[in-house]
Amino acid sequence: MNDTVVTEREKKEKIAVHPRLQEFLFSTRRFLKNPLTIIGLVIIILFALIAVFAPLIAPPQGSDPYRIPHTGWKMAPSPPSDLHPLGTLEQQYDIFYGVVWGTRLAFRIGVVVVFANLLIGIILGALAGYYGGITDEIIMRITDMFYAIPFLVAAMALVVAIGRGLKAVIIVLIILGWPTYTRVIRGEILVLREKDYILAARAGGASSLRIIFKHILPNSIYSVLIIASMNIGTVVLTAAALSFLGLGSETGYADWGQMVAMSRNWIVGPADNRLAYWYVVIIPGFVIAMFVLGWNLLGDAARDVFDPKMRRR
Amino acid sequence: MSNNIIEVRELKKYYPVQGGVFKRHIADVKAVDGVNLAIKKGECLGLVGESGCGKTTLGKTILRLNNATEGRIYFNEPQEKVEEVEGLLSSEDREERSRGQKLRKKIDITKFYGRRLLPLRQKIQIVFQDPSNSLNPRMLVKGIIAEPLITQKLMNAREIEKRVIELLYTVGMAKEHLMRYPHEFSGGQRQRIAIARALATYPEFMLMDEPTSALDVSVQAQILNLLQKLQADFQLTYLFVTHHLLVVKHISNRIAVMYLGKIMELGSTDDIFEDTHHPYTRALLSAIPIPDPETKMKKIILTGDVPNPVNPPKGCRFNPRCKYAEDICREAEPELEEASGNHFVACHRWKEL
Repeated sequence: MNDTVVTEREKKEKIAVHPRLQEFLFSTRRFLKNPLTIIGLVIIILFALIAVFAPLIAPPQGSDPYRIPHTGWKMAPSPPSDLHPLGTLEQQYDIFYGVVWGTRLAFRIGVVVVFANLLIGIILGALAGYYGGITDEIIMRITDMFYAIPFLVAAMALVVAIGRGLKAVIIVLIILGWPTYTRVIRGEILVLREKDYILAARAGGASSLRIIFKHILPNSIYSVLIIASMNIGTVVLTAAALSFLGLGSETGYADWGQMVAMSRNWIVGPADNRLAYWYVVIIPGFVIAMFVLGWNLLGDAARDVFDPKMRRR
Repeated sequence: MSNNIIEVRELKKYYPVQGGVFKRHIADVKAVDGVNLAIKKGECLGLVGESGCGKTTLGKTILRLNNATEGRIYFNEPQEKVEEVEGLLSSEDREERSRGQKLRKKIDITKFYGRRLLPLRQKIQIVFQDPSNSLNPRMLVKGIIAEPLITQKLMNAREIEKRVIELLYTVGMAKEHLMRYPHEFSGGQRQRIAIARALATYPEFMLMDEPTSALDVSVQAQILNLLQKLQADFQLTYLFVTHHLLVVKHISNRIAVMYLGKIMELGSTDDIFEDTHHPYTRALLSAIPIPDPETKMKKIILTGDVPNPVNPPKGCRFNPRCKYAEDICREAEPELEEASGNHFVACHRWKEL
């Protein structure tokens, strides 16, 4: 009888999926339990689809697809019509086209900036936390310097110094964004460094590189990934703010911030109809807000799932 | 005394205390302060003392997880060679001393760094106190046990897999545990996994850093018996660090008693328990509870606290708490001297007591 029990158990073992996959499925199930997560996921997937299929949704007309086509030079925006489903900005720039291609641009800015931030932040944070001493001192004092200057002021000054334009905005956001990640990773590593499993790995002859990649990062990376997913929205928001201030892309570019900037003069309509041009501000503003909201919801959900304190153990 | 696996000579480990804006060096915490210790091949040496006396630091320094501040550690070196180097180092002649330093660099493991440590890592292993802390929560049991084999590049993937399974059976677990995470196991099982990892590279010397303290009593006995069995099967040498005297009595051949970074008494288990010389050891032994309500044992209650290791008392380290302390105890620090065959004690007055 005992034998049958064993064989049945062995069968089960064979059918069972790999534990790593099991762990992943478990996380996903928890991830999808929260309705807010699903809302966030839907928003981001929708934006992603728009970004991917932008050439089909709004076929580009010039050589540079990010340049919004405009029909005529009339200053006052036109309301939604058959030709312009969401209306136009001043000088008849098509809002629908701008929103679609702006999505692509937002993903590009967000992903590029946050990825570069993560890379720099994790490397410097790992160096500071793992080696400590003078390395730590230097890196952390540099991050302190970054924190001492108001973010937007520093960003504006740097953009002007590099030379206006979208490229400059991206470079500046990369330069200014990494200290958050460095601090968090360093803090995590300081906690982990004293753990016995790190000592055990060293006693087993593991190199520093192996310890960092095999033991420290897998146990500390989730906290920065959560921050990163939330920051994709924030980065896009900051880029929009810089564009609004006239430091980012030029007029007529499919950039949400630029679109809001172009609506500046049309927030309030003529005396007889104050809300005549509602669409010029509301539509790009709403799109930006949804994008940021989507990433924030995803980041929140990621924290609930990956935070080791909230996991079963 | 010809086959010592580990020889520790005048080992010191100080932790600097820094203060002020510029991190000036103010003082040192003298965690281990001049320890001489020889561990014989195949024995189990118990290292006891209260918390904060430096026993774990001593162990980790031998393992080279800490860098020693001063002193020498020899691993598996012939006795003559050790004596030769020690003789040269303590010589009056400057040239002989520098010759000694040169020779020492070759065999003193406190001077080994980076790659030179690798062969040592294979022969010396450790089991930690708390297995929930010593196993990486994101690695599978398979990866945890295989880790030293992978980093040492001792065998190929298939051999490693075979070895890991073999190790699991050695520590009383099974193949089906291979693909699980540490959190799926009980405390005792986790400690078995940690032991399997330590055994992986065929070590000769194992540091047991309170391996049973975090476990509940019924499991403690199982783990202790397992450790004894492994020691016999694989001719291991243990340095068994603990504050639990009965555990040490059960498993050790010899016992070293540590107090405030120094060894106070060293002898065979019987000598320590039956023929105690040092007043501190007596106080420790009298604190062992006896499971019999009828026996009335006179307990020696020590007054005061352990002095600050930043600034240990002058003379004998134990003198402020010792009721037998005299002027000489406050003036001169006692050396570890041989009281009887292989029973050492560091006390000025042990003969009278």
